[in-house]
Amino acid sequence: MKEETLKVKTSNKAVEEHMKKVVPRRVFLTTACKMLAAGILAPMGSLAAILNSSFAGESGETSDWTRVWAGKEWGFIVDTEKCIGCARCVDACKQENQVPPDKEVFRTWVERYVETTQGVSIDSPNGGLDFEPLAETEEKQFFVPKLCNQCENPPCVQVCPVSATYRTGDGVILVDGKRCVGCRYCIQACPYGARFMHPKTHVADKCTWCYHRIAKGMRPACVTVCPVGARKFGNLRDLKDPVTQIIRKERVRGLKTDMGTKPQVFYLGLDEVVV
Amino acid sequence: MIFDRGDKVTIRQEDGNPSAQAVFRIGVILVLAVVIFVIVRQMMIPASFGQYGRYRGNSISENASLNAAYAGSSNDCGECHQQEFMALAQAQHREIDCQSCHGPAAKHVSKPAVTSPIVQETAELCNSCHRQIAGRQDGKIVTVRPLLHSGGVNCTRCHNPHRPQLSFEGDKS
Amino acid sequence: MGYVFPNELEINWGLFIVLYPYLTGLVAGAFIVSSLYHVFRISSLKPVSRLALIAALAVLLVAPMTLISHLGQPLRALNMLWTPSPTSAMAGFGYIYSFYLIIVLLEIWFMYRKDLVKFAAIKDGWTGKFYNLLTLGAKDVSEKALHIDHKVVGILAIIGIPSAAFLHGYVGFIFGAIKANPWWSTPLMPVIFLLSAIVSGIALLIVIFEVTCWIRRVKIDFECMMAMNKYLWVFLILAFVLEILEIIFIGYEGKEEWPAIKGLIFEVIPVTFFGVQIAGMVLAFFLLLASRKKNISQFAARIMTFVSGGAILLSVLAMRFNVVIGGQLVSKSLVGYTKFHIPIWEEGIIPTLIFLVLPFVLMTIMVKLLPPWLDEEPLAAVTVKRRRDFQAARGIEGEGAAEEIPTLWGRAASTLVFGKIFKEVE
Repeated sequence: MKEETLKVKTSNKAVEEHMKKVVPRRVFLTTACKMLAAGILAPMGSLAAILNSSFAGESGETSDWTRVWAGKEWGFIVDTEKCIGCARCVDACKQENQVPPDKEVFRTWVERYVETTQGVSIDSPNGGLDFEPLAETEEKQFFVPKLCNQCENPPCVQVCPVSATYRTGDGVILVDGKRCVGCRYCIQACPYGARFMHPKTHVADKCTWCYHRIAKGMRPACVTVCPVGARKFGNLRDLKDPVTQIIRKERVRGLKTDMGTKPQVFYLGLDEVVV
Repeated sequence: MIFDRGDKVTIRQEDGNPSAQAVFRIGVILVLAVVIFVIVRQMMIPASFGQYGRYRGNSISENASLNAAYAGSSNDCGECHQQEFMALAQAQHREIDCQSCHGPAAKHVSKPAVTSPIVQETAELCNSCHRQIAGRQDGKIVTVRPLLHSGGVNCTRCHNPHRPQLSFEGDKS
Repeated sequence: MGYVFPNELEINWGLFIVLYPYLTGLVAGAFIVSSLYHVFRISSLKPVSRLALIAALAVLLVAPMTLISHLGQPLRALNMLWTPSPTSAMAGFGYIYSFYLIIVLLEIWFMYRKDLVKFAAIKDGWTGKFYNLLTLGAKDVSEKALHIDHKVVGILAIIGIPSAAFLHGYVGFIFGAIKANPWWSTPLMPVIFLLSAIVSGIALLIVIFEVTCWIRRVKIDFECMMAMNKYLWVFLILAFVLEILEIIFIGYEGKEEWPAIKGLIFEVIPVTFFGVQIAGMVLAFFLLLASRKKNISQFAARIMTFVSGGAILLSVLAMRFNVVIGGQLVSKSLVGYTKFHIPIWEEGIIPTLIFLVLPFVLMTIMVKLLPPWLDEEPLAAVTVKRRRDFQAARGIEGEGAAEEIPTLWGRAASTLVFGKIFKEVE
């Protein structure tokens, strides 16, 4: 566009019209700016509300769950010396939590370690439900039940892109099955292989220490059915709780503690070869 | 507007440069897109999100309100099945929950007439603990080689699971 | 082989997740080539500067399809935008991707605006209306306006370089930050991903440039080809060195994960690792080196560059496979390997191939719509009147002609859709 033609076209009338137009435009711009500011501030406000509510929760003005959680920090003990590898826990877990029994996915499973001349042989056929006798050896051989460690510093919660997995106030990591997108990043991030994709719901699934049971005062199903007391469940905040007593008096250790995950399942008699 | 010469002049007078028209339009579209996105996002965040932390607060109750398949403990069973409960209390199996063998019984406890837990009297069930396999030392539990021990006969022919140490009692009770 | 945790029997990230870093890598690489011209003024790359952006856009549009089809709950994909977790390495994806897509779209729009106005003026019927819509009604193609467009493209290219680097470095971060996986967990991962991305992007352009020139039966710009050849060679060396160094490093340190990784590359994935990934790079390295010798004919040099490009494209695809699938084959127990069975349909070989072909289909359509060739399309094909219309629109012949509108509907459409908005706005 050449400037001359423009100038010719610019009459007084045009200028007047222009002035008429400019005003609403300015108004629009300020409105737009305000809307934008509101748009940015609104989420910030809600964030502040979130922070407020969580602080409020801790300082007495409690909502339902914060009251339930008060004075609770669940802990789990696995006594590998006692475990006989019967896999009643694996079976019970699948029945309790609707984990498809015919699929190779497990919220808990039992591993067997057998020292042989070629080194340690490890197996967990069908999560421990189908152990074969194997040749007997004189060397050490034992079972190690595994489950979610409900880490204090959980990598799965860290990586979830949609905030669909979280650690409750009483120390259990849950999955929000209605928000999980099924990206499986949490499955990759878990160093223990405790998570899996549920074949039916198509969201991430994991051991919840039977949160629906412990919320009603029951013990997790695996603890309930263990015939030898190899699994124990208790409140770490309660010093008189047998579980707390064991942790305070015995030598316990968690799995893969070098990952910095701070696992909350404590093992008695854990051998170095355990992976 | 583009089709109206007067308008073009308008733009020129406004910022001294008619050629910024494209940039202006894109700018407005982008701003609108951002504003719309922010508003839509605000609507899409679940109500209970952030109630307890950066997650949907209602999800806790959803998890906690699932139905339990297994009843709390053998005490629930003992309220009705007193005879078995007392027998078991003195036997070697005393530490074992009824449901370890009988299976999940929560439904049966709440509605005894409707369902009854499956009673598994198979050798496989006993074998899951008592079969001799690598890793299961005799010190921890009595183990047998099923075929050598009984020729594969059902264990309850000789053992009463509620009082297993008393052999040769037969199938019943 | 060995012991794997029971939940590890399933490979969680399959072929689609192999494709995703591959495709974004191509995007980042292609974009950087275009930026080399726009920002660093490497004029020999001018012939592919537009093609690079079109290619980037085509691939960029397909990339998220692989991710969304991989999700267990694809309909919830946007949760990633509504409630992103600030601690998640993956949560930023939605935002980073959208930002980058906008940058690419804007750059293309400003780059093509003159052409859009031209097509809107000279094309008949629906196509004309379509172009008219694409102009968003911004039809000022005066020298000044074009100068501003040019400037904006430059600015977008400058923003685009770090964005491209970030987009792809970030993909590397998603893998590199998984401490549970010894084959992924290395701070080098983002850098390795970025370099291999640039390498694959240049290789893609070499292949596309050669093929399109062949299809269009035009003489290829040899100087441009050799410029890409040069950059490919330089970035190839960097990518190769880092990839090898990383493994040497793990081996030399010999920590507890080394036996597992050694087993992985020598026993589990030797074919895709040594046979394709490493061999492809080595082959390309020597071919590119040889193609620059003086006694090599132009034709031979072109063939060698072309073959190197193809080899690199394969090598980088294998690299993505070796990282994504390979990393999951190593059990987190470090004492066993999972088996990977390539499925046919569900996240299998066939949809994967479709996703690999789709960018090229899109590219073909886009190239038809927005010809990236810089040899000006002659106006001879259109009627004299339409040509005059266009010239009028450019203001070449003065007022009278300019009042004539390209097509009645076209004007109505753009007025309806954009004009109305802007009338109110302005």
